[in-house]
Amino acid sequence: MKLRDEGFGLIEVIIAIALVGFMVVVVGRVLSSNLRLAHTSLNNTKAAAFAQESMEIMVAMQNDFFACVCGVDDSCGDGQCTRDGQTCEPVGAYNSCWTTYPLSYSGTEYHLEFNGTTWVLQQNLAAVPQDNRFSRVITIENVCRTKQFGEIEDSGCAYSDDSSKNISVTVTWQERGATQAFSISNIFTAWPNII
Amino acid sequence: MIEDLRPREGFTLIEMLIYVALIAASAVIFTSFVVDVIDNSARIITVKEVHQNSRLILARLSQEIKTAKDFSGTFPGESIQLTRTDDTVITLAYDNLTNAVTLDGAPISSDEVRVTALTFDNNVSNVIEIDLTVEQGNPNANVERNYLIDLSTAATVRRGIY
Repeated sequence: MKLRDEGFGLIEVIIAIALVGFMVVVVGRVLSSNLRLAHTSLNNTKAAAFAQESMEIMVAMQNDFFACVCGVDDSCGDGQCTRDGQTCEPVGAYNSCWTTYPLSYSGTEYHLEFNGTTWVLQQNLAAVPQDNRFSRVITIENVCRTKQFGEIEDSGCAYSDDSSKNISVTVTWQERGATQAFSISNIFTAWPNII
Repeated sequence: MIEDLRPREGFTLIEMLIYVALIAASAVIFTSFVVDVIDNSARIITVKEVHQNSRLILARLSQEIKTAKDFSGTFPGESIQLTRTDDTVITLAYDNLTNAVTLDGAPISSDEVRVTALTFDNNVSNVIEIDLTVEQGNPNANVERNYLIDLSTAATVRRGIY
């Protein structure tokens, strides 16, 4: 009986070690997931700053990109403002309006580039200059409304409102073999009288 | 009694050796594991501290710039003067002696972290570009304990466009 008892003690030790080992593995996984989260947090923080950068530049440049100003770009003698082949109609007593697409483009995906004097839109996504592990794309779409001056609708597009644009900036990066994305979006509206 | 014990004594010795070996091995593994746990938690705290502070500093700077009426400064540079809506003029600056971001000389960044770089740039009329580097607080920490984040963003002076 005693011998068997002591043999059992050894097995007990082995079982105990196996249990402790299992625990160590579990806690180890929690730790490594902590480190992964820290890494994700780093990338998210950077991506948020990069997205905000493009959004702020869009805020500053919105009228340069979209506005057709009567007396500057066109005489508007016919009640319409034409710039770069794109036409829009100033509402009421306003002297400007936004065109369907940004100046010199037609499309929805862009990125910003600094050409030495100002920021210009270029088509499609591009790597972020400060950290090229990230790429950034600005999506510009006209807001869909039920009718002119009507409410915004999510499905269908009865009236595509050029004067309000849904602008979103998406930053994407690779993390552990998967593509991660961070996105911010905003609706920009035409400021009607540009002096 | 003695005859009874003898075979058990031999057996216990081998068992003892196995026990000791097993316990020694598991103690070594467990100790290094505990050290790992402590190391990791210290690192996570550092990382969080740096991330949250960098976000806070950036948010504060952006907020001040966005709501300002006007701005001036030498660009690119480490400081910027902003005119607030109540016409008071404030200076946001980088202090490389205390490694802090200051507003009129008073630090607005925590002393738990060190700001090691801050640049304001202004290439296009109302857009202020900000580059910020935040490191963990202890300048004497060894290399693997060091942690920094490098952020760059932009803020537009709203009053300048509307």
